[in-house]
Amino acid sequence: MTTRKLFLYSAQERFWHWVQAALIFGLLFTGAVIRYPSALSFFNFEISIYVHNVLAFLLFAHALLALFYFFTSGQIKQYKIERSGLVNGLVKQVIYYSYGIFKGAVHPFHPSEEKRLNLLQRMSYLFLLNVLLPLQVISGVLIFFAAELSAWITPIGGLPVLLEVHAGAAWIFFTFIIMHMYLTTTGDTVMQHVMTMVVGYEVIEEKHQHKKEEA
Amino acid sequence: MSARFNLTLCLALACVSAASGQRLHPQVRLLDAQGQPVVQTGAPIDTLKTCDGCHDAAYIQAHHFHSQAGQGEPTHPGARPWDLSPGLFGRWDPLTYRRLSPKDDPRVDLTPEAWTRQGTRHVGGGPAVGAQLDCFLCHVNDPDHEARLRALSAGQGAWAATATLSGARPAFIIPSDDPARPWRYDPAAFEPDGHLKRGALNLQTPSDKNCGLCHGAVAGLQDEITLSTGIEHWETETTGQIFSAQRIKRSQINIEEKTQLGRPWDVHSERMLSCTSCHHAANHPSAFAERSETRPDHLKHDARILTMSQYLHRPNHNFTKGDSAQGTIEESLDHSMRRCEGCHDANAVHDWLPYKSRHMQALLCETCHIPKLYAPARQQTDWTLIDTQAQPLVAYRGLEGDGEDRAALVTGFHPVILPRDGEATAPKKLAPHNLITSWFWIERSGATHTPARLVDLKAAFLIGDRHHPDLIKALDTDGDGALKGAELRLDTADKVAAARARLIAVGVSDPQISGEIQPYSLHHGVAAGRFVLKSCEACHDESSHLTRPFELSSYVPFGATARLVGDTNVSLNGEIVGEAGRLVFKPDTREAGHYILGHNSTPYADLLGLLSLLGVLLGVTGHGGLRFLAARRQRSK
Repeated sequence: MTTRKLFLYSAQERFWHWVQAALIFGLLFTGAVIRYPSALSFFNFEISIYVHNVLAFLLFAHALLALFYFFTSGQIKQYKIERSGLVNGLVKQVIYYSYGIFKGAVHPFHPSEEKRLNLLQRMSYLFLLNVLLPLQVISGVLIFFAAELSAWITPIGGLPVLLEVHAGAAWIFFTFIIMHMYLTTTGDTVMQHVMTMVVGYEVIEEKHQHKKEEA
Repeated sequence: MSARFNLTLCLALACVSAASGQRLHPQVRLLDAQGQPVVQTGAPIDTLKTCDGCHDAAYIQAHHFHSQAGQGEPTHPGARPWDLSPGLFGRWDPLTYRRLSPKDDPRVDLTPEAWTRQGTRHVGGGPAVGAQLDCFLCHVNDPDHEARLRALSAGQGAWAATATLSGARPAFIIPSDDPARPWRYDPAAFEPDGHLKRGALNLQTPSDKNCGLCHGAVAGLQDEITLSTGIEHWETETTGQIFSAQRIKRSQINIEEKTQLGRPWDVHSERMLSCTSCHHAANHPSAFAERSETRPDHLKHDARILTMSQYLHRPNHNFTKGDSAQGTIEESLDHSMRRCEGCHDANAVHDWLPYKSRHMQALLCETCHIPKLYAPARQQTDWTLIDTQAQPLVAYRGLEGDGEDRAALVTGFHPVILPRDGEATAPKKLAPHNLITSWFWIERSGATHTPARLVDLKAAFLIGDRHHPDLIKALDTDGDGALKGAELRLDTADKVAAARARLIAVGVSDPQISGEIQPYSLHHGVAAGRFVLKSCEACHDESSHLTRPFELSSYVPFGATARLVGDTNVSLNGEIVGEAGRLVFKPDTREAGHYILGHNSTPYADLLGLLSLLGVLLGVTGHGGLRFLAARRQRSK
């Protein structure tokens, strides 16, 4: 039985991932302190505001640089969802996660260097990066410049609406992260996917791989 | 060259004047109504005749809102049905209680003559009957306000201005036993031509003490500041404000944790500003700035200002003013005064403050710069019963003990924060206020509603210096045959019925208890430095300073409710609730259009978020558990 390394994530992508994760965790925490200062009074409200703003601008800049990287490196194609086989692929994944995973079945998707994200991942990230993140950025910027942009934000309900939208989206981010972290444990070992994002590659057992392919 | 010469001359004159203890104003001839020197005729001083030689006295009296007191001004929307004007002359005030009656009122309370006799807080002239505009009240450094009030009260309005000058030292106006001429003049103080000798009278621009005679406690650095309650200290009584440069800890008031209060009562006073620095004559050459409403857009500054002599001939006595909650008079002058932003550049000094513009949009400077008042302020006035001195039951906030007791402990109070109208911004800016609740009887005759007259309250409730036996029977809980303290509260249906029966017995038609809440905005007592509200958590927290419950009344007369007076510029966003017999206002910033981060939040986002989080946690726990069990099963196989 031989093994080989399947390179899935470049150093830049891993850096992007972990920095983004740290920024999002920081934003969620400081955001919680800002929203519930009485419950989280052990952390300074004023500092939280500053840190939250700094992290938000870092995340924004980080997202822009990542977008530049993904476009110029061609890796943006990893997030492309093809219509053909969409329903079939989704059904297979649902069946796998709701039944096959308990029976020791092989995951219906096999990552490769050209196509490393399964259909559910691609759909989740598409929603996350194209809907949720922009929503947070836009609502955050409007909140940050509420005084200067009051003519813009008043017709849409002003700060009460913006802050609730921002908080609601933060809750979705938090929920996603819980789900995301859980799904990282569904590899061959609990830490397999996490380690892949650390070192960049998966170690593939050739024999096992053949078996999977035969199945 | 000419400007330098003038400046030098002015400085020299000022120095000479200061050295000789005299003001720049030339000595005057005090004239009577016939234009004759009073020292020769013995008649009362006629201020218009006396001042008219140099100043256009008729103009000053005619346009002066301090003098006109609202006469001829229409009431504002929401005013009480029985208000006749928005000023002292016609706007009823539950603190002073007496009501100016219209001409055709069958149950007269105050006639213009009786109103004049009350005297308090009116400078004369305008609607006052027989009492001229008293220039001396504001323009001499030692006016005898008490003597003036006594003269007015005695119906000697013509002598009121003369009485005011009796405070000059050395005295040249001396009391006399002649009822027709209660004052006489000391000829030794006058020149042969009737002019006062140098130093006899110090005429001046109004000082803080002059303003304080009617507006509340002011004190110089060497003056003793003591606990003084009562409507004669109007602004202090209604707001707890004291305008003084003195450190609070140096005062003679027994203030809680006083030694910590190393700040002045008002930082502007400490920095040498006086009342007239902000509330100056509208056309004063050194302060004149055309209002933005009337200034052409292309003109930053109109250089066509009056010369000093033109100004002194016709000084506009409609002083610049802001837009306070309690100030309903002469609305056209609202915002004519420079507010904080007119002198201070807040952006230059609030570097520590995040979201500066946002904070400035939402708050008046006073909200943070007047975080607490260290003199007691009136909380409630209850006219539903009167004591044996015909006075209402009064309670103060920020005071433990009796307001008459100089040793009573002053705890101070945090103002209530209310949204204020009249701002161009939306939502309305938040500003600190005191709220005074008043309970009183309303007499109802057809569609006419008026407060029960004081004379009827006395007739109904008092016999000589004792309460009426019917009241004693119903209210004397300790059985000592007298009513005092809490016994004077109409807090049960039986007590209300007893008081109501007495009022009906003296002819008061269908009396009902009514309640009114009067807001008083706070603009003095300004703090700086570490005494300012700076902590984020003070507002951005569950127990936000902005929504701190505010006691309106320590008890509520049975069945009564209180409403905000209608002609004010604030609204009570929140709810008024009864709590353990008290009446409490609970502000709601959301209702006022403000969303306070860390304090306000709607439950929807959090509820949906928590539900989705719970669902995901349940899902991953269940899924993970099943995976674990499945893996164990497979391993055992």
